[in-house]
Amino acid sequence: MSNCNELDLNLVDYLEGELPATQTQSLDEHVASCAACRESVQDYRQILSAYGELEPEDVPEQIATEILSAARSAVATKVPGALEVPIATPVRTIPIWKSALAFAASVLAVFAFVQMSDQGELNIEQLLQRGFEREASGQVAGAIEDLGRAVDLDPTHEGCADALMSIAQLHIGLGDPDSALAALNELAAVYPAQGNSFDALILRIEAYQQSGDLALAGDALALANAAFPVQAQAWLASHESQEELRLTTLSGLGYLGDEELGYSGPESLSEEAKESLEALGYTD
Amino acid sequence: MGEPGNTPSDQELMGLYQGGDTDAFGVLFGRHRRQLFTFLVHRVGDRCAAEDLFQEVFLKLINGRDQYQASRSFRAWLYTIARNAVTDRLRKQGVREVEILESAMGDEHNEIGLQAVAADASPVERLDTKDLREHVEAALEKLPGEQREVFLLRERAKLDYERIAELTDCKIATAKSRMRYALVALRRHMTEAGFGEHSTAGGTHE
Repeated sequence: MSNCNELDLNLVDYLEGELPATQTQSLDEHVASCAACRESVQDYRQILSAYGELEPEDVPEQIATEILSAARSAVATKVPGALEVPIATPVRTIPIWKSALAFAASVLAVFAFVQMSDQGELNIEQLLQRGFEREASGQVAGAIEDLGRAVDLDPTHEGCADALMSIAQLHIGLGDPDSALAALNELAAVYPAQGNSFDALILRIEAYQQSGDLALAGDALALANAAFPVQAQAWLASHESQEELRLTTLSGLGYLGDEELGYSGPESLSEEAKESLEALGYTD
Repeated sequence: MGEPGNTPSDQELMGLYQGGDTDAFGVLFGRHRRQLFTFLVHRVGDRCAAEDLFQEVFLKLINGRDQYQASRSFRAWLYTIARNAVTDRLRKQGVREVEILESAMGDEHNEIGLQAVAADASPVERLDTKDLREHVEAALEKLPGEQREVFLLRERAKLDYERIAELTDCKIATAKSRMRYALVALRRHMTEAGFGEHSTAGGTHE
């Protein structure tokens, strides 16, 4: 008959029923005769069974929706030269005051993960602060939730323009261009200047690219180039592989009057803008 | 997507998604979301971090869909991505998980193994089932990372030991040894938490 050591050495295989019949029988006999081994084997079986019976937890529905949306976008944008869905890669420089918040967050992190349970009681300032902290620490879903709730409370509150920019950025990171564009449209409606800023236009370009709408991406690029020629050229220089976007932009020059972008048509281009377009290789 | 009445396998669904069928992805996602999320919650012990990891895993899967080969188990592939994401995150956070000493898995196993614990352990039998579940969950958090990892890959991800060994880059015997220590430690933690105080506690070996 087996002994305690043999059971110990073969415990996992014994519990899994993976041992040869003769060895199993021998261990069965030992377990039947040894009170301590019998108790421990019963305990292990109960522990395994209890864990197996634990109700699995489910991911929040918002995250599930974003993943399904990313899965669709990835297939929809599968064209030569198109960008893959980026994984939360910030392309925008974080403002200094946000960096300070990130530092504060890292100090707070000593006290473990910030996971407040009183979400319903947070005011707009707290939501913005925690949202930006979460953004800085890569907690994408939490950041979108906090910043979105802050904007819902009062989009004109100080900090909400940055919140909308961050929301758009984070949605692009998740491959959800529709939500990103919704945030950018809200930004343009409440804060026209920020909504048509260079950073916002670049986000718009990325969102249109993700949704496979290269014509609108081209429009946004042309507009960015007209309004911010130096930055646009620098951006294009760093995205040389986007030849497709350049060509689309060129062809899109004929229908630049996208009301959504606050742009009234090619005739409104300044001479300087026209020159910069030509410098980029765009002609009338 | 699949013939009506047939239940397509994970591999088939992934193949369909590779071909652009997003409904197939939806079915696949529905099949695995809860188990994967639970795996991540129990692995990192933080729901918020698990949510981010969950997204990261699926975005990597989506972006890397062309790398998937139908000859491979989808579940093993999914949990390989998940395991790597967890490892990366812990490394970035500078978390060094407690590692069990190799010697503890060798000749000295009797000193800290099954019998030593059993000798002064209060058995968990006859506990209220709900309490038992909650305490298994709590005890799991106290396990060293490597033990918790193997336990979850086996009991949550349902991978076999050959795959677990491959995934965690160790021998099959090592993976099983980690599982054994996980069970011993779980039982010990649950006993220390004051469970199972009854007359048969501390039975001796025959």
